[in-house]
Amino acid sequence: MNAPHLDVGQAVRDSTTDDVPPHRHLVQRSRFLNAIGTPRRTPWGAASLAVALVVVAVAGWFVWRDKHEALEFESQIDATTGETRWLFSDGSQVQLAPGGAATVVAMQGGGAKIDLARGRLDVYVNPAPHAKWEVLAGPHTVTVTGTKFLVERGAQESDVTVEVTNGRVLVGGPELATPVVLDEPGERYSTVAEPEPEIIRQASRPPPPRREPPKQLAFEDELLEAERARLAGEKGLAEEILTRMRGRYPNGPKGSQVAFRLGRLLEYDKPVKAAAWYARVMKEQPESPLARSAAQAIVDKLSETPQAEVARRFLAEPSPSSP
Amino acid sequence: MATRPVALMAAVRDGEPGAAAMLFDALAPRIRRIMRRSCGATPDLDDLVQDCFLKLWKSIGRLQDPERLDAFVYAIAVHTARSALRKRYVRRILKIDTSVVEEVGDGVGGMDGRERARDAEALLDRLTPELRLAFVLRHVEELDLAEGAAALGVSLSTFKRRLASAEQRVDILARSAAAAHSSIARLPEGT
Repeated sequence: MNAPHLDVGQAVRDSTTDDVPPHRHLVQRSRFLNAIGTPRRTPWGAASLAVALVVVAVAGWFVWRDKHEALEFESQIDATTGETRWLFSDGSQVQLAPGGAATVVAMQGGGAKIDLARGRLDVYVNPAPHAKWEVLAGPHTVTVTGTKFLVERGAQESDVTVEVTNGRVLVGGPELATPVVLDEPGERYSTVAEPEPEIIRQASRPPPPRREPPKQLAFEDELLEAERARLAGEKGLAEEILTRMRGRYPNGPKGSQVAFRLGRLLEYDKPVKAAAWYARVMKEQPESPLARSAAQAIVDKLSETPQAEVARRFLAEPSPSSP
Repeated sequence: MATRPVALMAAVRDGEPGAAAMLFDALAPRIRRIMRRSCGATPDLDDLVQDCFLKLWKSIGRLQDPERLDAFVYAIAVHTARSALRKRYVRRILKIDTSVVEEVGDGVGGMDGRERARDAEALLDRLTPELRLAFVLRHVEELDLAEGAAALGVSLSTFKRRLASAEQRVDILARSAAAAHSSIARLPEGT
């Protein structure tokens, strides 16, 4: 005689089979297929596709960004040396020696194109894939991707000297069938004083020529420089020049004149600061027509600032020049 | 299974049109049988089969070896059945189980067979979900001990322990039922 549990198992087993009425099977299958929707891709197939798409999108974005993100730069003039320095948003720096002339003619492909009209440029390009930097020096073009080098124009139109501190540059020009590659520290390409262009390989770079300290510009010239920067839209540079001048002329008529210029420069972008500069003019030279102009400017354009009330009272008082 | 597991899995992985229907046709009878034997003749059997297939479809991507499809199907079916049995067990304890057994057996074995099956399932209904599943896997589905343990997701020793408890409990219940039946049979008429 079997143990009872074996009979129980047998009874359940015998009463249930794999047979399902066809219509019930079809109904249930239709229900299942409806629930899962359209025939799907396998999970790993979909996951692989999704991962691949994400990778391609991210890589594409980086490439696009490297190629298309425009750099920004600001100019600085070194008061001591007189050098103009351009600081680029990617960390690259270009320094123009005093007396030189150069223009950033284009911002391109994560780099810049600079036209050196005369003088010498010290260039440091922060290495970045796809960044395209070019320095045009007369008929020559120096192409770089990441390096530190120097370009100097000579007296003649075609005279140029390129010297690499580190990295790699390509120098192209009308007399060169193929670009010259400079890729060793101190390596130099020059057309100056030699009948034929030549590459001079040297172990170390000669000491740079001593720079003479720049001559101090006259007060009026500096004001003109600031005004030129302001009109060119380089307000930061104009403010820098004027602030530096104010440091040298902390009071007196010249100092007030600089303060007034600063007030006018900052009226729209930094009204509180502008009002403060105007107020200094009123305080330093209350008898001068400049002080009344400053007060008037506050009342007319900066009436929301704390100095407005003082300016109104100032204007309400009789002018010293009025009869 | 009419379709070989390797071919079936390949069709599913490749996203072939009709792969889902093919999977259903191949596995539905077996899954329905396991659910039926595990949970009894419950009116929500079709829902349980549907739940089981949805879980299977969702997780079949994790199955690396097509030859292990059978074990995979067992594991998912047992998991689904266990959830249903637990809910039913709790409802029964709280006296809120309103499910009605509409049909016992698939009509196999005639009236005697159906009565035996109904009595047997009545006994199984008195087991806890864990004991019932261990019993069904071993004595109804006739899996060996290792397969049963794998389907339940427990160690072999745990499975053996549960099985022994289930067998002991079923034996006691069966003997009690038989004793009660014979007592009723011996009662004089009119009582």
